[in-house]
Amino acid sequence: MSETHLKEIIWVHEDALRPDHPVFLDSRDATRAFIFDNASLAQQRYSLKRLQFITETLIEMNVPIYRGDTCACLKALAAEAGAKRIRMADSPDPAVAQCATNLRKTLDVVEIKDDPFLPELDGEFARFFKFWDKVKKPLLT
Amino acid sequence: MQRFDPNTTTRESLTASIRTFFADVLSDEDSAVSPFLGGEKAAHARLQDIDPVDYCRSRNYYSGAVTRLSPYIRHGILHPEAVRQQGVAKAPAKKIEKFIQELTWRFFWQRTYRQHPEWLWQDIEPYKTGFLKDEYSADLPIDIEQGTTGVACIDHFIQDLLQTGYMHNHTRMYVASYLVHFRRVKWQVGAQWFLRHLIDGDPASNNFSWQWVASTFAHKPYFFNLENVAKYCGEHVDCSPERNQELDATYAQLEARLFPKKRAEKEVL
Repeated sequence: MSETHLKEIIWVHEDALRPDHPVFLDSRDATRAFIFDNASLAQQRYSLKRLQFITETLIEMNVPIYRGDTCACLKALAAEAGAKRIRMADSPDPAVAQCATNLRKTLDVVEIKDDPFLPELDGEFARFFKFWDKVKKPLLT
Repeated sequence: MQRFDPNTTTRESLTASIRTFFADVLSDEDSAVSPFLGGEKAAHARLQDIDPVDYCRSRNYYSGAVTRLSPYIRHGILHPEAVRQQGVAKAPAKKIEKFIQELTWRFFWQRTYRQHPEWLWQDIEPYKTGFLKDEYSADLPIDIEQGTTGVACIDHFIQDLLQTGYMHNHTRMYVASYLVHFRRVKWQVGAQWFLRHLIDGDPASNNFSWQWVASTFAHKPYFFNLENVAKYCGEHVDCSPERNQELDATYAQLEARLFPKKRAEKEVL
């Protein structure tokens, strides 16, 4: 396996801003990037308060911050670094999933799940308290 | 692609850099900076100070011992298990069940979001208010957006949102209910507005909670009266009847006023 093949970009997004999130483990030398997506900014119109909170967190983590089209930025950063892989934290956000799908056309994309708060549980729960009754035992010990 | 190279000398200089970098998306009026500091250090400092026992007793009160950890949990800065562990280090788990249950609410909303991402902006169920969804406005009234409704307590809670990016959970419910049921505005409008300002704005927790208030993800609409606000917030917020006339009524009176079609349906049945 060549050195080039091992190079990767860690896509940092707003659902996983913890330095010891598994996405950062064993990849301390990888290029990291957070991108404020222009289309999302226009649609969500985040206030200064939100932008500042996220920015302060990223500065503390020493993560470079960019603006642009997320997918295009990641592809450009990967090309610049000679990376073939994007490493990213798992997210329920469909926009994140859509970007990952787009990236997979040209790059290897690895999604890393966070440590679970609760074990996976089958089935749907239309109301919270039925769910709570199923899961509370280990949480209350 | 633009790289952001902020001036981090002081918090003020950072704010100025952010305002410049995002000048095209921030309005001139948007100048408030949250008292919450971003980052893991601030999160852990706050985590050390939690009082989960007092939280269970007083969390519904405006000045109750709420943790204010939500911005950090929302962004994954704090793992919910770390928060639970800190709780059980301070008191036996059985004594802080409500504290642990509230952490689980977020997990439940995230799980629902993953199973049904399409529910985020769609009505999950019809409104149980007697009104059809098209009878709700699709516009955010300017007096609500600016916190100048003339209903003193609601304006106070909206100013909390606008100035700090944080609201006590109970006051989120009041404002959401006021917008949807007293002003008859679609819950999606309010959800979008909250996500713009709340530094803990999480699409799943936020939107499903709005649906719960609206009754599109609950058996009945959530509404409140001035007596309830005075009980939980009266020591800190103007709850005088003369400055909150719209809310000063019994639940029966409010139900008849807010949901007249529902009442008519009951009478027919």
